[in-house]
Amino acid sequence: MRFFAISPEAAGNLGNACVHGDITERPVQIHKADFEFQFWPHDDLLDGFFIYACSSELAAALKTANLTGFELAKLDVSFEERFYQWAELHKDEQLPEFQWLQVNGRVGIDDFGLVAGPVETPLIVSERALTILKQYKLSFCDIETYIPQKLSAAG
Amino acid sequence: MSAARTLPTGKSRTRNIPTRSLSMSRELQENSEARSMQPVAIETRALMPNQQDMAAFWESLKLAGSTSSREQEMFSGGFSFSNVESLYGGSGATAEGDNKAAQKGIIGTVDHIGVVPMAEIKLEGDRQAATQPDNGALSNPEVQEVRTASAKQVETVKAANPNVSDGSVQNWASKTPAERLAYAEKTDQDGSFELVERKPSGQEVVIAARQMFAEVETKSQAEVDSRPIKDYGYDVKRVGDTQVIRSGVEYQVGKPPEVTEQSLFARIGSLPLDQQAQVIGAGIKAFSGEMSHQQFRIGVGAITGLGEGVVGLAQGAESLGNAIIGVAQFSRDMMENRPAAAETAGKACDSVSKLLTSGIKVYSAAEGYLESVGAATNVGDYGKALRDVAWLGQQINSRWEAMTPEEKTKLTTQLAVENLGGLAVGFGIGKIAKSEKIVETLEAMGTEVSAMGAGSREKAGQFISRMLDKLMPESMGVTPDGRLMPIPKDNIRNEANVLMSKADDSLGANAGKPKELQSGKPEKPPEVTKEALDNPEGLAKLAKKFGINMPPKDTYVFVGEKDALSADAAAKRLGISAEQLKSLDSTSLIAQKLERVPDYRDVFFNKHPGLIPIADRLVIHHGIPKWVLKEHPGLFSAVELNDPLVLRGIYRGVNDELHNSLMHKAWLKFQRTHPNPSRSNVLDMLESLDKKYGHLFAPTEGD
Repeated sequence: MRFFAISPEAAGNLGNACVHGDITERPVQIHKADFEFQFWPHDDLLDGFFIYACSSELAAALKTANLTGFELAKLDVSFEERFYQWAELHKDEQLPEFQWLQVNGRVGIDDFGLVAGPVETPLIVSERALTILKQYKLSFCDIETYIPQKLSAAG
Repeated sequence: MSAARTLPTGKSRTRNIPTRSLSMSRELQENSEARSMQPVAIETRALMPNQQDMAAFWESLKLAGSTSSREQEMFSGGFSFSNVESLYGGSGATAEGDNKAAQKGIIGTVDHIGVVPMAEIKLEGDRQAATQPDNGALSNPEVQEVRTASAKQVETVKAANPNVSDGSVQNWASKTPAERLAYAEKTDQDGSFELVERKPSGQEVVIAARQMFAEVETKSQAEVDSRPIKDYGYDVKRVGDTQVIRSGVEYQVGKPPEVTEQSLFARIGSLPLDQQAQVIGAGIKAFSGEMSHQQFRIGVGAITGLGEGVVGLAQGAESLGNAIIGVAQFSRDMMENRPAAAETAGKACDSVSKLLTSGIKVYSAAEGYLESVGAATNVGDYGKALRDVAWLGQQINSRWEAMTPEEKTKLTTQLAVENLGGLAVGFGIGKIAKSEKIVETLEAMGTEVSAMGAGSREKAGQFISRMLDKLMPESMGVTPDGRLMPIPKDNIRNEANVLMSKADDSLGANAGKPKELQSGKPEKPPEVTKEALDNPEGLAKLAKKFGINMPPKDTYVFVGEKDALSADAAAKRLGISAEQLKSLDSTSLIAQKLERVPDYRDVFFNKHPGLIPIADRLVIHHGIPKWVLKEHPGLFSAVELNDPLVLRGIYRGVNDELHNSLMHKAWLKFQRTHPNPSRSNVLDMLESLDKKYGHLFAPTEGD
């Protein structure tokens, strides 16, 4: 099966209430997620520096598809002070509800996995996972074919 | 001696040019790679040559001025062949979606590689034709009868000729195709003929010709190939002792040629300037009621070679005509200082941008035609309109030239940010700001973008339209006390969807304008900015309105945290009063692991007061992200991150795309790949992003 390295929309970062392990480890172990929105999100899958957030609709689809390598959990969110300035541009919109997509699978084996090491795009998904993801909005998500050697070398 | 030779309608003459006669001019040879190139074998990308198919392709390559010149151009340069070994063509070689690809190529030996000008090809063709031997036609008894005819007999024949003209070849030659068509329809003439002079040597020289539109239309519909061509360009590789050139073109076939409005505009944009001017002139004439729309459509079809009957052309022609008349009407209104100019201005800007982004050089065509062809020949009744259009272009250039370099940069950058987004990088906005003739620059930009996708064209069109809106002259009005004053465009245009800054009201410059539903499309920052700087009281009032403290207020950041706190919040955490906190010196603060830093937003606008009037449209970001403070305590201080040199003003309208998608993701990747960054790592990253996106900031960075 083919795998892909994906870089979802970068809409936030670790919030102040986030509880995590050694910040210099890659991936950083997130014990308690606090997704701090910095910008108004456009996609159904978001990247917050090792906190991945997916919309409730996408979460339901992933669950139904019986994919492996992830768990879904409640996501606490917070907002960076400038977020409200961006939110003014979306007065008629409602911020979607997001869930925490906890990735715990093995890269190249499970449908979701995280590459260990300092790589730019650690999130690796299977082709069938990508097929599901693509049914949702991924306008700002970069997708490239996963090349294990390349990523391993970098890591 | 001259003789009239009637050509059968529906056919066009072609001249075959021998392969060996192709050559480059001396100048081109000296300036091209040709000098160093040895005769080389040429092969194309296809695998199995199809001689029969490719023979037709090769012949078409030799026909200057025919549709096959597209193919010739697609080879990125001309090839002068000393020997053609084989030609090939094939279809269905690959499949892309619903389209099959047809590939064509040449295998042969060339003398030179480089551009062979069409004019030279034509010249060679003429020479070849001139050396053809007498075909013996003069010995024909009927010809002899004509040669010895009396004057009376000639007059009798003339009277019987249904294609009689007014006898003025010059008048006919100076008419545009559209005018010729209109004349032909009016006088019921529909035949083509050539006037040929036969030299004593037997050589025939065409001294005048009239080709009617029925002919052109037939040719257009039967022969003009509007299928898209994909250019492979060429590359040179050495194979053993031989240099092999790989080149080719590929047609997208499988769908019938379709003439959309855009393709019609693009076709016109690819015409020489004098023909573009003919279209513009005919458009003005048609849409001012001096020519029927049907005649205009037929004329456009003939000029472009698309033919009138092609599906979609009619709508395209209407749109084209409307765009042209929009420009002409505004120009006329401005010239005559009609109040209506204020109302037609918006339409004119949109019309010009539409034409420019289709590659149609409205102003250069009008000006060039008047200077050259128009001055020497009969331009027709639309000469005045073309002069109006050219005048408007000159006015725009004049207003641009009157601006300072700083004003040009500000205006260009701002409009680029608002309208082009990520495209701004590709268009070299800096060069636009530095251009001397803005009209020519915008035309060049339009030509460049005409080959791009609809999205890019739309963005560039918005940019051009807004730029023109800023630079077009204002119409004049008379005040109640009799003074002549310019009527501000912004007070007249009904822009329900234009998003205005709250600043405009505060300065009283734009009272009554609609409030913005979303920010990001500031109307006139340069002017407002200048006005604001000249009015310190107004500026202070504005700053207060936007929550900007002058001088900046103090905030507090705990070491290892990223967010600034107010004095009250920080004091509360320390268990002291705000007054006590404010009295602490820096040493005492450090002991509390606390930094006193001026509010970053206040700092930015105090540093750049000229941007205060548009403060509600700017979001101030830290050039170095704040997570650095939290994840890498001690690497940078909060004071450093809040230094005005590190703060970046980003327009809200494009930030979603710009910052979110590009810059923030870039920093996120940096964050992942630099678990323990050094200061220089971070500063290098800041610099690289400034270089890449700095021209989109307010003020610009990384120039």
